Amino acid sequence: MSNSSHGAQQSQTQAKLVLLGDMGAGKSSLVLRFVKGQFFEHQESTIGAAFMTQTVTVDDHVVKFEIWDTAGQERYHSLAPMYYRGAAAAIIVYDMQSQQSWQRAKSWVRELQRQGNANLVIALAGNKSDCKDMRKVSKEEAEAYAEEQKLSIFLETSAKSGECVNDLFYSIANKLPKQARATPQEGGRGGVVLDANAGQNRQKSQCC
Amino acid sequence: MNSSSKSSSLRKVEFPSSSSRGGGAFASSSSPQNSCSSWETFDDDDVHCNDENDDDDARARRSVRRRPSLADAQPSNRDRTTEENNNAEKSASARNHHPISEDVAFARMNKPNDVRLRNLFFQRDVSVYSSVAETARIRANTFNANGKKPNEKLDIRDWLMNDDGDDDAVVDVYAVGFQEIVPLQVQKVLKVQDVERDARMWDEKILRCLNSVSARNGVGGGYVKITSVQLVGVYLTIFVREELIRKGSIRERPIATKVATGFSLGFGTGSMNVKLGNKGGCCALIKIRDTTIAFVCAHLAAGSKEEDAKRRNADAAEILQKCVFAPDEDEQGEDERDFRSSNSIRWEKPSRTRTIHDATVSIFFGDLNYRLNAPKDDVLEHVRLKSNEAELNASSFRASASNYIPLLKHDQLLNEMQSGNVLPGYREGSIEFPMTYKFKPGTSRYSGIGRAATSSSKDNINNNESDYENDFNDEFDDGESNSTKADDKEEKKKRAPAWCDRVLWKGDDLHLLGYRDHDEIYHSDHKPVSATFELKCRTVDYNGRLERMLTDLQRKLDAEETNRAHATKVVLESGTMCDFGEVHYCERVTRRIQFKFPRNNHGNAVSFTLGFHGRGGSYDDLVNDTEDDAPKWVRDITPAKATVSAETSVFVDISAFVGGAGTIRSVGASNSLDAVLVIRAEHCQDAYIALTGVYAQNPIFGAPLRSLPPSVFPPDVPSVISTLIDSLFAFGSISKNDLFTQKSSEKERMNAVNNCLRLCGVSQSAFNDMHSSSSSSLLDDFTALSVMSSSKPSSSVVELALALLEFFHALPEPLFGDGSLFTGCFRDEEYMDEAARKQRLENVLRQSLEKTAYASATYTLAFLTNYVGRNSPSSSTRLESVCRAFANAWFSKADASTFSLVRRQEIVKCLLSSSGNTAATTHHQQLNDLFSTTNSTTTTNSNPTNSAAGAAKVTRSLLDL
Ligand SMILES: Nc1nc2c(ncn2[C@@H]2O[C@H](COP(=O)(O)OP(=O)(O)OP(=O)(O)O)[C@@H](O)[C@H]2O)c(=O)[nH]1
Ligand SMILES: [Mg+2]
Repeated sequence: MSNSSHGAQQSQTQAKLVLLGDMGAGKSSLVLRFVKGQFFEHQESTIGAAFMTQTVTVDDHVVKFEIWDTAGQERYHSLAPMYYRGAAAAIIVYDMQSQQSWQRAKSWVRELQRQGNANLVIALAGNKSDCKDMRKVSKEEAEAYAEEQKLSIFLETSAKSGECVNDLFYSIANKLPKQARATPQEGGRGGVVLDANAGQNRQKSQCC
Repeated sequence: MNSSSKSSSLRKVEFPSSSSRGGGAFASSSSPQNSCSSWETFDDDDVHCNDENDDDDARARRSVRRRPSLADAQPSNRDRTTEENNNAEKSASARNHHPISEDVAFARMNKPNDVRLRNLFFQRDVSVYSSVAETARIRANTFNANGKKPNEKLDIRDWLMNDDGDDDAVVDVYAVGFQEIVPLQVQKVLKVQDVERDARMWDEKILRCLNSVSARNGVGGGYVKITSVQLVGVYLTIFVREELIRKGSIRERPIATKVATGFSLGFGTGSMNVKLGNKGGCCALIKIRDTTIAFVCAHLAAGSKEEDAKRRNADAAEILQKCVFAPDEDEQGEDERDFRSSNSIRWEKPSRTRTIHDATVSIFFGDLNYRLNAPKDDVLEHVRLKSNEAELNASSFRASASNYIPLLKHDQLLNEMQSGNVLPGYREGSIEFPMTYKFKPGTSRYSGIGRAATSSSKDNINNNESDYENDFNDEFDDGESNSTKADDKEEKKKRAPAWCDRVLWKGDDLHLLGYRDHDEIYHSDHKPVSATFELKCRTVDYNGRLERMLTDLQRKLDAEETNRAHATKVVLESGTMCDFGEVHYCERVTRRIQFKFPRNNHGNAVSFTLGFHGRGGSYDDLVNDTEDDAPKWVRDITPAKATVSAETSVFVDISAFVGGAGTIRSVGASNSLDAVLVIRAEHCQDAYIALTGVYAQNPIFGAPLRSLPPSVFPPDVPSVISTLIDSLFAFGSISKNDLFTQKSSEKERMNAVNNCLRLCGVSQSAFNDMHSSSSSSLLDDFTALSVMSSSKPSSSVVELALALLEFFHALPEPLFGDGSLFTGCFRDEEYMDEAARKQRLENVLRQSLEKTAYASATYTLAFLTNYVGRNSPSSSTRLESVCRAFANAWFSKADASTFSLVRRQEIVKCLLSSSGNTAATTHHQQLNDLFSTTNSTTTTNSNPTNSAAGAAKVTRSLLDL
């Protein structure tokens, strides 16, 4: 009998997650990879913003992400506050092959820090890690910057190869403050083993 | 069953009632103490009651209520209680969830927002996420002990263990149920210690038997009792093979509970009604792996009348309904001290409260007391016929199944179950044993077919027991003191044999292996019955398959939600962009966008709103921000909201307009008009239209004062101001009363701006569009103005005034800023006269304003002072309108200003007051005088090439004159 976690109370968090970053950085591609496991070489540039949900379970904690993939084009910048307002987490994406997108990422970090939600989990993602040889932004620089700005997460990702994409979203789920657990229904976690030996016995007998 | 003799005897049973018998018996036996109400309620088996009921009414009832037969699937009339319970049962099974699914859902999906996941989850078969980890052999034994203690002679081995099966597989769980474990006499019923003592005696006997046999067979570990529960005479005790606990198959503490259904003790009401407990059920729930097994040992209402079946139905339903296994009810578990090992078991606490419906499988057994729906005498006669006449015992009767099989079709339980009146969902194995009741104790001879077989029912009424005793007569026979006399009484009472003792079950994972009686036990007036099952014990693969399945389901839900959000997409017929091109100061540009909503399944009407913010949070909650995020330069959206038909193009006009410092500021240094218009409708994905355009920065309006070309004279005054003021003088503004009173329309503003630009020799494309000639010189302009003024003399002068105001309004920094420079002027206000205050204000202007601003202010003030005039009848109204207009134009807008509008007006008024004597005033008085006489000639004489300089020249030349 497996030592299952059934009986443990699960908690669920609903979390608004916004992706920000320069156009072409790969925001939509990251979301698509995470939600559907797909990748398109010719991903259309986002107009306005796109919405998706995805639920993940981390340990006993269920996080339902409500993902807003914003448009990187400058003209849509004015919409961004709508999407990061009230967000629990933000992923700032840059294309590691582009200095411009790196500068843009940094300005997003500044904007988010200015808008002053101290609980916002900010993740920095250097995307297109499958093209490392074309890199224009060093990992060291980005890492140092993330540390200096006290960003919660920094990862180099590739929406194309899938590298670190799940890690990115799961680490965010992990970093989110867990909501107050629901009032336990009667019963709750059973299995109070009073006798250490009895527990051992059981453990042992499970193996045979 | 094929032989004619059998069928004839059977027919006799089937067509019983001779009309003479019942009615006659009844007529002759109506004695007071047999008043039917008491008998009917309590003592059921009695002949008299039977006969008494056999009146015309009852017969009529009976003929209406057809005898159900096995072949008859029609539901018969149900009494109310059964119906209610049936409904409860139905609603429970309407959920139609596998009990294990319920357990899993309880453990894993207990959030309110898990509803959709739960619904999907319940559609999946348990086998997807659970597997049969082991099979357990379960044995249910039931015995109505007739109140007799176990004794040494009594060999229960076969009853407990023998199932006639070929394989001697070890039984894992023994559920042993007793009825009438103690004699059901009122005085004994209430003696708790005795009652418990008898139960322990049985436990010891059973355990001894199980363990001696298992030891002999080399079954390791033996058995332990894990739980028991007693309800007076009803006793359920459960033994399991220790091995199951040791290897962790059974980990959860069993829960036992009981439900009394019998006589009310007469105190308490409703659910608090205290029942005597002579009837009812003992229930226990155990869990092997993730499979839960409920055992219900029941003793249902007695009585051989047809109607009594309904009472039994109701009892069964009540037990099922009231039986609740609560994890915390520790006191329900009987004391297990006497039993080896059981006290060292460390149980896991059951995870939740369960009802009987929450058990994966359940076994309902005991003395269910259902009889045969056939006249007792006919049944007895049949039995007598089929039995060996000499022995009159059951062995000859039981020798051939065909002796008793025909009687089965009269079995109430089979019929009631068939009709759905009792224990819905339960099944029973085919009965291949004779009736288990009622035997002459110590024999295998049915009671009532012996010597007293012919004694008429009338004989039976001569007992001298009280009514009360009589009521309990059936149940309260004292087994211990059983005497010949009692036997005789039994014989006289003549109960028809019946299959009272039964084992039923429910649940697909339970498979019946054997179902039999135990004829060898002579202990009681019942024979014990046993059933053996094989149970598939499931283990839920919580961390593996279940996890994967839930993840998949969740993905499915997420995808659905995303698709739902994307289901309807606005068709942007005019594209995702709306370009306003170049937008000039005070010049409205209107563009039309076109879109339509596709038809969706939410009806044909679509309500949409156009705004500048999207949705937040979950897709379905629209942000109802009241704050308006619309950029200032977006002037009109018509319509901004509407309800339209799907598939019909919607046209919306959007205007860009830049006028006044506020809008200019909103455009920003880049001069780009950029906004994203969000089209939002319910059940529809947001659509975005990018609004773009370029603000064609104006060289005059909106330019900072210092950047403007100065006029030659007066020094430091931007030429636009001097030009406008000089022109106002030139066109006789002084004579007009309403220069600053009129509310200006957008059109008038635009014309004023364009005229002003023309006057200053600055071209603006709009102007050129309006006036086909692109060349403009001051001379032409003035000619044009003159023409205009001659045809519509007032409009051009008003436009000049309007342009002057517009100019000040457009300044990036208002002339007097937020007015804070004047704060010092109002100290000791009450001691100041007007002249002193004006002096102060003028000093402040001189000291605080930068020179261009100061020059502009004084020059304009000089003009306005002149305009307002002195002692003329119109001067006070003029003063009011000027103060109002310039209090707005020179100071920051209301909320950014230090002073209230009234205060600002006071400041302007004071600056305009005549008591002062500044150079500018004097200068303008002169100007005024000059203008008033020579204005028409000057204009024609001038020939300037550059507007600013030209205007200055005009002024200069006028001054020189
Ligand atoms: N090689 C490589 N290409 C990628 C990767 N991620 C995205 N791309 C490509 O980069 C381009 C832009 O990706 P998008 O996902 O549309 O970028 P975006 O950030 O959503 O852009 P906007 O919607 O305009 O803000 C597409 O052609 C993608 O195929 C990656 O990890 N590696
Ligand atoms: Mg995109």
